[in-house]
Amino acid sequence: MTGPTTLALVLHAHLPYIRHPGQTRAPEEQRLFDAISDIYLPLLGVFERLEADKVPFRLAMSFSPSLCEMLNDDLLRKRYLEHLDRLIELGAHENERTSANPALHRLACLYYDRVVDDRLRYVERYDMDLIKAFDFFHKKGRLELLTTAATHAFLPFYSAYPEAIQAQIETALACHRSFFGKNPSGFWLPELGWFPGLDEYLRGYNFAYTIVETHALIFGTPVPRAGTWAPVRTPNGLVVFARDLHATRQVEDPESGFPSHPLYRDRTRDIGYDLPYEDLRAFMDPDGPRFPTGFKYWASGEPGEVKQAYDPDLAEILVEDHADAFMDQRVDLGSRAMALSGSPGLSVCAFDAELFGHHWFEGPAFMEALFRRGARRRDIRFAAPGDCLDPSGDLQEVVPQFSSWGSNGYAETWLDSSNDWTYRHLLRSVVRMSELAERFPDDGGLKERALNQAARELLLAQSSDWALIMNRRTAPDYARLRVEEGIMNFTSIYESLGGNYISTEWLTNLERSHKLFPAINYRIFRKKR
Amino acid sequence: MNDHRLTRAYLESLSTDDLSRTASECGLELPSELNRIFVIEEILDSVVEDYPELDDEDTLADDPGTIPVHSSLPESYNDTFIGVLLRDPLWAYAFWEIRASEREAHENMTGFSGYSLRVSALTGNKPNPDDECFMIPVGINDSAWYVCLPGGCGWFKLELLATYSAGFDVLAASAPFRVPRGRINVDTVGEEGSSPEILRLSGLDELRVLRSGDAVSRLIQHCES
Repeated sequence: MTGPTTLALVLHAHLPYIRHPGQTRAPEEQRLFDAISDIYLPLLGVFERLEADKVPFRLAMSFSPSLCEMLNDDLLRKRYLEHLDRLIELGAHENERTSANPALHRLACLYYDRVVDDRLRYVERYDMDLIKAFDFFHKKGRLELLTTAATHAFLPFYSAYPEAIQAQIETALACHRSFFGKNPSGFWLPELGWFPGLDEYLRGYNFAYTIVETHALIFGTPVPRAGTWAPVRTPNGLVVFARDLHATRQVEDPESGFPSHPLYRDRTRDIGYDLPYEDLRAFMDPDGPRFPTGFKYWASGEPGEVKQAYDPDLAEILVEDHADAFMDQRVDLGSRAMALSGSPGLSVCAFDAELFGHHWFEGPAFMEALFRRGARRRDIRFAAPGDCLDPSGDLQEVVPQFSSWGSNGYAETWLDSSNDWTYRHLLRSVVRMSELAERFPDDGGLKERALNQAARELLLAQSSDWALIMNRRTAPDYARLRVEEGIMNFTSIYESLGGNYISTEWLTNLERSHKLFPAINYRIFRKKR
Repeated sequence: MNDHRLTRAYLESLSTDDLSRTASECGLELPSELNRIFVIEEILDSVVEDYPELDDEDTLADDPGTIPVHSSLPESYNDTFIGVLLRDPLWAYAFWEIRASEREAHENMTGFSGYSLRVSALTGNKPNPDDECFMIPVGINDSAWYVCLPGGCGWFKLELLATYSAGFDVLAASAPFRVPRGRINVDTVGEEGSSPEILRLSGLDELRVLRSGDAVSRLIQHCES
């Protein structure tokens, strides 16, 4: 006889810091606007409906500090509103353009209504403060919050540079506290990048737990008794959960995962890519790159077949089937694991939040179905990882292995011929930043401002996203520019301080452009004694 | 078709249909459902092959003029060091620099034969006289290499050496780094207190990870700085 399987759903919300105040309609800022419309607003909608219907739900979300800074940025908030206004205009045009085709027209109206509703909710309901909106559910006990490295650096590459790791963690903690009022107990590893020894840093900052990729634990030392079905404790006392690989496959597998079902919406076909500019005039700059609008009319369909119009009603039914299949598999595997190992049958389902709404349009509906249908079942219960820490301390001691969630499970996504050139500069700049922090321990005034900006520039260049973008070649020139910009700005300050001269005007402009982490203290890069 | 218009910015501004048409005009036969990103890459690659000067043009198009003080990355850090990043259980990326004055001194010495990397498998995480090692000669102007590590997990260290007819000088050493085990033997996991069944329930058979001893996932080019 076994108890219910525990399902711990964890979503990681992150975007690299992209803000171009000197540029109107910078295409790269679109990523944030898409994420707000596709992911964060729909998720908040799910939480509100569940709460209103008194459906119990519990999950965890990590919010990266760089994302929090952008969500809280007045300029980006204003630009998001402008973006919505352009979308509303485009939607009106689409309603007219599709009027002769009932299937497309229905979708155009649906998308138009959705954008209007987004604007209303963003302004009236949330007062443009999405962090506060998520924090509301945190305070209600529905949402557990985690933080991650300040600019999402791939931490295994900094294993020989303790100051870099400490700077990423300390900055993240300060940022999280400023937005959410208290320290989180969980730390999301950027790209799930783990190396043995990281636990010492995380425990040093009083984090109670983290989550690793499946093979980090299966290949751990020793091999854990309960596989991935129970957390373990590292020698430094950090509780480590591993992702449920079967759950990952069910949702993320590009061929067999739920989102690839032919009835779901095709995420690649978008009028932003398909229509001539005359039809997109309201939304897109004719001289700029094309980007998605969210007006997607086609279902994924079978490969090679003619695309059919997307049918939201069919997708809604399918979502419920998939939610059931997801829970059935957790219960089946979890109960077998409990019977075999006496483990608590814990399935940690950790995903990039981008999947839920951005890559998989029906993702938020899937999550809503999961909680609604799960509430009627006795064989499953929802929890956040922090609820499963086992304070009695009976967890097995295991050292998880070096790993990540990238291609082939290690670091090759962030280290190949497209991006390896960055690390010489990033790591030497860490050495230089530590040297500056030692050389100027008590400086104030202009020098302190310069040192703080040097720390910001270095942190920004360390973001794992630039290496990922270079690897995937989605916008390699932009990613390259961002790393170069960070290193060059840092080096300029480094040399200015050596020469005891700095251009105040240049520094002020830089502070205005890269204005994240206002309370940063460059001394985070000092060696800890 | 004017091939000189085929920059990334121009291609990104095209509709999907126009992009497919451009690919056909470039003689590319691509699947109709190929993601735009890859179509753009294929077109750019084909243009670079035909008109190599365009590559330079792209580079020149970057506008470093907005950087007021430093307009390029540092060419050197005026230091002698070696750094190592572990890529997976098979490969590590080593990068190094030799301070100009030091380089000149070594290269002018009698018997100087070049530079090498020494890879040592450590018996613990500290150096030991009995440690096994092997040498990899590197080019005099090289500054980075992907190093294939011997199979099996354990601690390693890389050193940068100046080699002479009569021996070598150690110029820089990396911090010891630990290579993970890339596979486990299900027949012996019982000795560690686990069981093959629970590991299968955890997805052992479906892991898509590079395992030590497997063929390399793809050709890795020796890199240059």
